[in-house]
Amino acid sequence: MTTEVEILLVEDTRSDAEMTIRAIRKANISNNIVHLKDGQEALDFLFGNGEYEGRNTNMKPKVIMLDLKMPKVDGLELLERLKNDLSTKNIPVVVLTSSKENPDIDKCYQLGVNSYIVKPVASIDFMETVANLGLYWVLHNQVPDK
Amino acid sequence: MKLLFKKRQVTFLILPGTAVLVSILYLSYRKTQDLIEASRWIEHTQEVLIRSDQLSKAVKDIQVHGRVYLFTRDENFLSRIEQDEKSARIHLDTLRKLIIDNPSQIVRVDTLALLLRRHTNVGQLVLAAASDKYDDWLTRKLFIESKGYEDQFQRTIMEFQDEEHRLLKIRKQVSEDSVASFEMFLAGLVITLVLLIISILLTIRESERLKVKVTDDNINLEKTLKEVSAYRHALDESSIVAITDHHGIIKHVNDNFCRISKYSREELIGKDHRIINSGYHPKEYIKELWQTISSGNVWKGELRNRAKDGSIYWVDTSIVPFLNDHGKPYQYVAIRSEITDRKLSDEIRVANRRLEREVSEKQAELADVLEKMSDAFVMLDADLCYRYANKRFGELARKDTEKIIGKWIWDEFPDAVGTPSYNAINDAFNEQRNISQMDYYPPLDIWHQNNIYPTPKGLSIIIRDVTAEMRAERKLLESERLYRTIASSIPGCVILLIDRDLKYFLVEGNMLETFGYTKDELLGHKVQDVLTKERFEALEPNFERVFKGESFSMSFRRDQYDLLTRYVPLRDQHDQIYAAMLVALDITELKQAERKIADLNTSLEKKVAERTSQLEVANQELESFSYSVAHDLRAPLRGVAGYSNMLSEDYKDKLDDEGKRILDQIGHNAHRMGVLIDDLLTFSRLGRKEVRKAPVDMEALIEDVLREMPKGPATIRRRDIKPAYGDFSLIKHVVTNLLSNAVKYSSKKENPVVTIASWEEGGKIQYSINDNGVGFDMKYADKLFGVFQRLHSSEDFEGTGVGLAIVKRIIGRHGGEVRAEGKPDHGATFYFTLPAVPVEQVHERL
Repeated sequence: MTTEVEILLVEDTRSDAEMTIRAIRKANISNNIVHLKDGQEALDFLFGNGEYEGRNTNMKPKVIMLDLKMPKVDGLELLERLKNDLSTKNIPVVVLTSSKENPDIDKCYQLGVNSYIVKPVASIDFMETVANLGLYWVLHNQVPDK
Repeated sequence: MKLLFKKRQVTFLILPGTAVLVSILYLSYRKTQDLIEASRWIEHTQEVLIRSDQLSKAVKDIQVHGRVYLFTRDENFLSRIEQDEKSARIHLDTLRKLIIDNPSQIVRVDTLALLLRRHTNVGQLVLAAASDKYDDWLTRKLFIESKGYEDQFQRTIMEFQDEEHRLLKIRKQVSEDSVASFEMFLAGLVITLVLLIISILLTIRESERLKVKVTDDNINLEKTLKEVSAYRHALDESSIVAITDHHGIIKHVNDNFCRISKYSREELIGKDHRIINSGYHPKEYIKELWQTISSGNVWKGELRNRAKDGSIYWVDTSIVPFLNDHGKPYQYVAIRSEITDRKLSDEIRVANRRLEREVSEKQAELADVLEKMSDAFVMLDADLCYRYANKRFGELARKDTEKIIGKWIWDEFPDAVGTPSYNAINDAFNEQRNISQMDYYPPLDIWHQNNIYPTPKGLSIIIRDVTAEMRAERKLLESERLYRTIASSIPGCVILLIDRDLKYFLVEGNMLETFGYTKDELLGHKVQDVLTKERFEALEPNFERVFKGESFSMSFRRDQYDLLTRYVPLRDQHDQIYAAMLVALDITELKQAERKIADLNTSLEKKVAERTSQLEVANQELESFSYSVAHDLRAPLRGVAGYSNMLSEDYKDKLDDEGKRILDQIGHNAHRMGVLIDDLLTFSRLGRKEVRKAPVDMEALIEDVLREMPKGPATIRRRDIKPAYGDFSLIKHVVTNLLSNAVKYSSKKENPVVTIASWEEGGKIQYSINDNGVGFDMKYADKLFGVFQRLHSSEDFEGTGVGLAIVKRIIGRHGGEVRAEGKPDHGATFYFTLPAVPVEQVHERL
């Protein structure tokens, strides 16, 4: 059976999200991408609350691509919640951030992030990077069964 | 003694003599007893033999008489037989009684009795047979039988008699032995008795002789004792006598001894003789004494003893050892007579001789001293004529000391008449008193100190040349005047001179009044008397230091005045410190200015600290600003590029060439903006990044940069690259920037060449990077290092206009300078300076 969702993209910048989805699809990696606009939505989706009440939460994404700077619940907080919950801590999380200057990299690794990527400035490089990420995490990476 | 010995000898003779006598008596008694016993036994045995013979005869008679009867039948024989039998029985009984103590003979007697009874019985039967009916055969037969018994009887008697004979023989032998031994005993007895008698006789004679001798001896002894006691009395009267045991412990002293030693007899008896030892004599002398007397010889000599009160006395001494039987001394008798007076006079004579010798020695010595002494010395007689003048006087007065003798003093020194010296000499002589006085004698140009002493014969004068001292003193006085002048002419100053006793001897300067002292309060007084105790104790170490030769300054504050005090030791002509100079300067105004500066500095430091913290806050704000710029500007920029990209991908066919070009320009500009943002962030980051300085190997650094740079057409030359002292990564940034610029701007030339050089200049290292590229016009040189300032278009050479601004900033943070020289189309040279590696760090690296 195919999973309901393979990539969960949590990104508030519309252009980055659009480019990401385009890059994944173009590379024929997956059509099962869910794009959510902030951390709160992601929590609701993963734990079946609010808008997503009744969703089968056993269906885990193969990877979560996460922007750090977001309204409501930001990337760091979401990461912390996911990695501290037994049901979600095994889902690979890849952080995508805008700046090299980011002082959050240490914090992310302390919280247990699986990968930390600085978004390339050039759009072509950006899309290539995202496509590579998708290829790796969706098709090559293996996670524990439960 | 001999008498006693003889008596004992006699006793020894008599006691065993008596014992011998008693034993002889006992033995002779025993021997006599034995003899009687032996002869008694012999008699007894002989009686037994006689009895047994009678018995044997009686029995034989019975047999004979029986036979006769049988032949004769004479009745008389019958009665004879009866008698015989009767007597036989009596003999037998007697015999039994005699041998009752001999068991073997009793058996035999019993046998005899039995045989006799049978013989008698058979005899009666024979008689009966013969009388009743004469039966000849029977009678015969019976008679033979009786004869048999009779024979048996006779044999037994013979056995019996043999035994008795044997006994007799033994007893006779015993008797003979007894007699023999008795005889020998008697002989011995006689000899013993004779010897005893002889010895007794001898003893008696000896004792008689001794008795006579003892009487003689006693008479002699009494005479001798009388003599001895007379001698002793004479000795006690005339001499000092003491007796000690062989250890030297006093056992006896006479009255003379007590008198001279001033000890009582009780104090002396039992004491060691050394109680009177004066300790005067050498050990060897005493040792010799002891060796002499302990070996039994008489010692004679003179001894110096000490009485109880410590007084000394001399004794002529003889010590006589008394010897025991083994020839060892058991006591010593010391006989002394006092010779103190003689000894004393001896001593006095010796002392006199010694004194005389010493006096003459002293005189010679004195003369020598006088000649050698450094002061001039003269003796004048009562007419004030010279009696003696020493060598020094000759030198000092330029006179012949021998020729001067006998000359009148004022003839020799006419210029001195009427001077203080002249008066002093006259006064000393007239008033007979010591005068000490100083004077200047112009003809000789000398200052002299005269010490004049009246003597019984005139005057003695010691003259010391004190010219040098006087001159030095004058010099001191002059220098003191100088100090005084200096001190009084400098306002706000005090000069104090203090001698080694800490007494003020110069006090000058108007500062004195400031502290409320007057000159008179100080001059001639000791420091500790003028100052308070606390103040003196605080200053005391300073005085110690200065008098040790140290010069030093101290500043202190007193009564709202700041003072600078200098301590200087003052030395005389012999380089000896004779005083300390204290110079105190009023530096109150100076100090006030100093304090003001210190206050200003403090407030400045405070302001700097305030500004620094403000700056830090601003920097932090800037940092967060940079962060948001980076994040917030990049995302839309990427969006622009992304969408234009999508547009070109998805709508390529619908766009004409101009549309496509515009789309490309959109992407290109978006990219440039991204680079610009990165450069700006780098630039701002440099402002707050810490510069970590360390020695930098510039050769290696350039090597790194060239390796990482994209290969261009330019030839890179390097010459003598010196190491610098700075932050490796920042300097690398500078070199990268300048080198890539040089390569970039020369890239359009044929044979582009970039040259890197370095040299030391003004303690810093100067680096230059030269290219033969497009160059620049020097009138724009000041714009080169500004942010976003460019001299070339992006079309010609790519760039953001931030690179050189970053270079300037980095070099500036290292305390260095950067500048550029150039000419259009003739290349450009960029110079920058960096600190050299500090010397100590060079060594560390080595």
